[in-house]
Amino acid sequence: MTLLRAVIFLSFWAFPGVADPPGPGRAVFEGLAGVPGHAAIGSNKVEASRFPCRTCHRRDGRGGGEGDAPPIAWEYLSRPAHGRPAYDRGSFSDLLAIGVAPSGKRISHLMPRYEFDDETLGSLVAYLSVLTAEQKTGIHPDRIVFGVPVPTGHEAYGRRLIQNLDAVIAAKIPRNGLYGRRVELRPLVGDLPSIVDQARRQTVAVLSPVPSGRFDHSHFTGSGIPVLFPLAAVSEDDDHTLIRSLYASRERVIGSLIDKMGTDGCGQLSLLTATEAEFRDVQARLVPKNRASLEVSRDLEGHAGCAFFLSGNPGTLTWQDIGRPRAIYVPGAHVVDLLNSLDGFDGTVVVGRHETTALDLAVAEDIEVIRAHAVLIGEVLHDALRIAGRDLTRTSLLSAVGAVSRPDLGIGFPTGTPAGSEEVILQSVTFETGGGQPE
Amino acid sequence: MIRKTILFSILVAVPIAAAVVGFTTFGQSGPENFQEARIDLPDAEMLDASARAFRLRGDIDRDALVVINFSYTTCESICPLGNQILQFVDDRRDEVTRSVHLLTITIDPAHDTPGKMREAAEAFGASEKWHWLTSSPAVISEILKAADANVADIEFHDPVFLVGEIGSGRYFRSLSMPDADELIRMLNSFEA
Repeated sequence: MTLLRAVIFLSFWAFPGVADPPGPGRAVFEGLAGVPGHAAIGSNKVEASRFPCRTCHRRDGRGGGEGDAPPIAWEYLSRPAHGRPAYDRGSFSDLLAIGVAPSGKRISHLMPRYEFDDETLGSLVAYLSVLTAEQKTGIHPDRIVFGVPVPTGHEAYGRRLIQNLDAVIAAKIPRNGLYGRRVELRPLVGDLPSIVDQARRQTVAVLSPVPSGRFDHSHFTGSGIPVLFPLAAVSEDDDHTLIRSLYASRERVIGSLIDKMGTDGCGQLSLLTATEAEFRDVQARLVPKNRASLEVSRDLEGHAGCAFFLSGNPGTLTWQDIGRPRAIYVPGAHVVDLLNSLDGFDGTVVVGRHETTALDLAVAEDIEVIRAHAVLIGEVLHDALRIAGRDLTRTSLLSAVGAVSRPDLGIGFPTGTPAGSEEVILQSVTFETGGGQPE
Repeated sequence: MIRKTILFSILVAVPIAAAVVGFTTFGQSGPENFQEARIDLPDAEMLDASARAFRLRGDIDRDALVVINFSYTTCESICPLGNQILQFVDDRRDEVTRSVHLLTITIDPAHDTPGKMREAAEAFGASEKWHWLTSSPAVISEILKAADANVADIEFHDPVFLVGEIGSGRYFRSLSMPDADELIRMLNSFEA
């Protein structure tokens, strides 16, 4: 048991939720649920949330990219440009509704027409007016401020990470900084609502928030705060314009464990998931991957040769409940939950680890994993800040991280995904009653 | 004077007539947002969203019309709009006289597995006649070349729609993003 705990190097915390109800203008811009109004394409209409501003004009409103969408921050729209008069609220309303600019020109077919009420339109103009300031949060002429969460009662992790990052950044970033800006790491102290508030007001992005089965990146990303290099695995469905990881995705870890079950010849499997939807999804992926005919069950009473532990909340589950399997497969994120149910287990635990690049570096350099994590952050942040250039926004920083390619470190970001690696390590630990031996 | 009048009539009337005939012909064959093209697509081996084998020509009814769009699942700007327009056409296929197959062909085959295509198809509630197709990079490249679609950089690909008959190779290529009304008019411009 101690040995398996030694594989895990991080503590887990639980945080209460943070409520941050956005105004309708921001909801329209970001495409949040419950956006009022419609988007029309020809004679067909859909909810406006299907086509939010940010997908074409980008989160910082600067446009560019596919379709070459123009900038839409209000300080740009409200002054004459490219032969068109300045927009006011009335002409902006016309643009959205009928697709005609103040110059009289009809705009691109690539933009739907929008129907909003007055309140939503006013709120959208108000949001576009503060967009640039929000996007420039933490970016100063002489420094760029990143936040490192240090939650109350769990200061040790934050302190160690900051200590390591400070050393790495001092070695990697020139004394005068990049483009005249040095990197400042600011500890964000307090309870979760306070940390999110500090991050929103003071920092360009949050670095490596503490991992937890119950901690959700959306506490930050839901408020528009980018999250860089979390230790917990990201999902491939996470928004890559708000979150970037150095490591493999949760889906990749699950896929590797499924492959391993196939080669191990699991015939009966107890599949323990937190939700019914996850059960169906994993079941659908398991069956075609398994060479033997595989019987997948949620029935905790039945005997199963193998168990796939994907639940972050086992409650009072004891592991005998799942039928005394000979092998348990578990993503690293759920190992701590599993350990609480593992007394008396005889068999093999196979752990899927997403943070492969840090583990590889730690072994190669004979350093702590958290140090290796900090080294990778220093390398990628340095490259990203060089790519992003002087005129930086939160969005352009995330985009620049996505453009970093470091095959020497096993890091690269395929188009549209937040994960910086596809490599997964599987660690097997064999238990006999009272102890375990790694294979 | 009469000769001059006749000559004038001929000189003026002929181009007008030509223009009218041309306009009428064009009006019957398609809106101004489309350009006619001959496209000989290969009978490529592909995979649909259920990972079943699908032949680009062989698995489509010979008499059916097709609407083809090139897309990729992680695209967030133009592709969702193109898919939304195809969804409208999918929902309104009863307005088209002939049988219609919709084809969404990935331009990012390295990432777009059948599973990814299935997720996207489900998000748009695609019918069984809306095929979400992927294949090897070489096959996708061959199709794109045949379709003369410019996707040198997938993030800046042209939002091209092809409307036509896969058997005869007669197509109309969109010059800018069409809406569903235009696509349905275009489909109905083909002889029943």
